Formats: sequence, C-alpha cells, structure tokens
Amino acid sequence: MTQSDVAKKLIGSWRYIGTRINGGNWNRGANPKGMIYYGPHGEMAVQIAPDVERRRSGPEITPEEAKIALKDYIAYFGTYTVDEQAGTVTHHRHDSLQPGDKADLVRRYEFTGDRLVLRPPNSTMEVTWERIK
Amino acid sequence: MSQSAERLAEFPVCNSFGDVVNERSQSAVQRLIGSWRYVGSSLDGKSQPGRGASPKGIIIYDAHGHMACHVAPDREVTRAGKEPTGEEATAALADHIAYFGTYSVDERAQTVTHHRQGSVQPGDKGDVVRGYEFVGDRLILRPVGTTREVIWERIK
Repeated sequence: MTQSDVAKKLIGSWRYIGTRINGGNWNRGANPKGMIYYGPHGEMAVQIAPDVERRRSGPEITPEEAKIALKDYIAYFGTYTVDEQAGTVTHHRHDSLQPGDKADLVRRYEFTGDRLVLRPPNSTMEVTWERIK
Repeated sequence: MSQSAERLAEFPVCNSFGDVVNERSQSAVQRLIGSWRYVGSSLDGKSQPGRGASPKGIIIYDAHGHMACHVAPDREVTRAGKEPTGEEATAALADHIAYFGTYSVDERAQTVTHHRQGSVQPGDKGDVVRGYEFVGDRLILRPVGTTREVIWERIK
C-alpha cells in the first residue's frame, strides 16, 4: 500500500466503538460516543465523550462540575501525516481541550473491514473506530 | 418553466443522510461539506474578546450527515498533576467549544441544525440552529435570534 493509499483509506469520519487496555475495556460509561475525522487536506479532529451526566446547577459552572465534564473527554484537532513504513499516523495537535496536552501523538493504524484500530506505540491500548457511511 | 422542469423542481430528493430536501438545499449541503478553519466571532458587529489573540478552531461537515465543532481559546491552560484540579478544569472549559453529532439543512430557512450527540460543556443538550451564509471561501454561521456571528474559512 502506498502512502497515498493509506491516506485515502483514512480520509473520512469514523465512529468511536471503544477503547481497550491490557485486554479490558477502558471505562467511559455505558455508551460513550465519539468521532475522528481525517480530511483530504491533511486536517484532522477527534472527540470522544464519556457517557456521564455533565450537569450545570447554575449559570456558572462549579469546579466540581467542570472536573466531571472534562474527565476523559478527548477533543483535539490539527493536522496528520502518515508513515507507511512504520504503519503509523501522527496527529499534530494544534489545540486540545485537556489542559497541558501538547505535541504530536503517534498511532499505529490497522484496517479491518470497516474498522480502523489505532494503537499508541509501546502500549496495550487500542481504540477502535467504524467508518461512517 | 416547462411542466416537466416544474415537476422536477418540486420532486423531493433525499440527501446523503436521508432527509428529504429540494434540489437547492442539496447544493447548500454540498457547499457545507468539508472542514472549515475558525476565523473569529463577533457580537453586535464587534469582535468578541475572551478567546485571546489567536483562538483556533475547526468545524467539519461530512458527506454522511455528521459534524463536529471545536473552538479553543488562545490561553495557556496548565495542569499541575495527573488529573486537572477543579480550578484547572474550569479554566480549560471557559469559552471552549467542543461538540459533535449530526446535522441537517433547511434551505428555505437557510439554516443548518447541529444535532449534538456529545458536548463537553455541562448542561449542553439538544440542537443548535445556525443561519448560514457563504461569502467566497468563508462560511458565516449566525445563531438564530442573536446578533452573534462566527466566521469560518474553507480548509483546502
């Protein structure tokens, strides 16, 4: 597969299926939702929302409400590049919701039917996505 | 207009995500599809402070009726420990927009509705309706019933 073939396969949006680590499910509640997008111009964005109640009791969010809302919510965007040799896609983050989140993220990619599995190197974590079509 | 052309114009067409739309709204959907870079927001014609010097953002409308939106203020938000504290989380959320879901277009009203499935902001639920306007490479979205506008530029 050439790099452009891989990039072509990535392009589009993908629905979050789930995250596994050490063979078990990463707990984001009963029905977490998410989406990752790879654009044709090298742009990307991802969001994963844990299935929790994000409540606001008043006009101002309390620190406790903010903590709950933010916990494990993934939201970042930027550009991406593919290294076909290594079988990786790198997310060059321009911004991220999570405080202190900076720099690039490298993910090994695997295509299985309509699914895309992304794995951080040197980790047992895998994140599974399904093509939106 | 010939009778057959008239019939064609009124014939309902389904867009790619199954909504019945007329032909003109299908073209509005086609124009929306893609990703757009955040340029800025204004209220009552004045640019909105509070998001810092160089806020960044992206809005995506895909070909299958899905959308995502993220606008990040230009502000240093730190995290001292592994988990953000309540104060750090509050700072991270302030003026930060991050939601996703599906969208539908009402050509007659010239609006796009974002059907949110997830949003980081506490209490954020349901749909938001935006008037849309295309100006060259730009897309202007206006929350219905407000003088606010959000400007986006096509990523290409």
